[in-house]
Amino acid sequence: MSAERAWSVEGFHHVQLAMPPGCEDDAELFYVGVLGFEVVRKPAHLAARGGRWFRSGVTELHLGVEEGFAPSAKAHPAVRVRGLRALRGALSAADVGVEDDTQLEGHDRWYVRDPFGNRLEFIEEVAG
Amino acid sequence: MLRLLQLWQHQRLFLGMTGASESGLVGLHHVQLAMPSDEEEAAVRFYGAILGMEQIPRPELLSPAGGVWFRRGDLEVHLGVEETAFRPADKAHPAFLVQGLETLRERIEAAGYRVTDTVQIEGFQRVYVRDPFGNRVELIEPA
Repeated sequence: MSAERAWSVEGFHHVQLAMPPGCEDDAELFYVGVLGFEVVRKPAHLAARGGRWFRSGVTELHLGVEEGFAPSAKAHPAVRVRGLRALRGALSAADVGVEDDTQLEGHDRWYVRDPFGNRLEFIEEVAG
Repeated sequence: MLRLLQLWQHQRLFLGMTGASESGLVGLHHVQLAMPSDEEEAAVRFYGAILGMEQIPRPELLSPAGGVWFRRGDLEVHLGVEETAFRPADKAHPAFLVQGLETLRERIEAAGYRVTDTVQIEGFQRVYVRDPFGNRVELIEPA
């Protein structure tokens, strides 16, 4: 790739997940109440579609409404976490099941499903 | 409402355990998208050759089904093989922050992919494209 290339792909702006219609309150309960995201106001011309946008620091997750929604079996966003054990405790206390998986060298990680069945990975780098 | 209060307490437990600056959600580590089996070459053409991402090694001990991992800057995308009944999401998608959206758009279209305009958001230009497997990808650039 040449240095003078006029374009580049730099990072994530957001990840959009889907949910069934009418589930905005459930989304807030999980993403705000359990995970500590803040609600981001959707632009007025997009708000009529329903859905909720959430942000925590630089992480932005959008939950969009999809008729006939079916969650993906494997596809997922992975969120970097500080305090992964504390998060696991908070999720267990909120009756959210945690699914362990093969570990990646230098990382702790596990999965949960949001109220709509969307798979989320939480991952933290560990020393050694 | 009681349930909500309980949940908030658990959340504070997580966020407040060691102080907000030490505990919490930091950012996105990667996004995993799904693809059918035996299509790794198509993934490399799209995410590697067209979008300019670097293929990175994928630990073999992970699912033997296959897949390809890509990285560029802070962006890491994992394509994982979904062996049974792969179906791309209709709306769900990752949005990649890009520089030079118009040039990139021409490059993607020249490679035979259709780039779709959508409702704009103030302060940004954005378009959608489907990867070779039908996964929806948003490309967005601050205006």
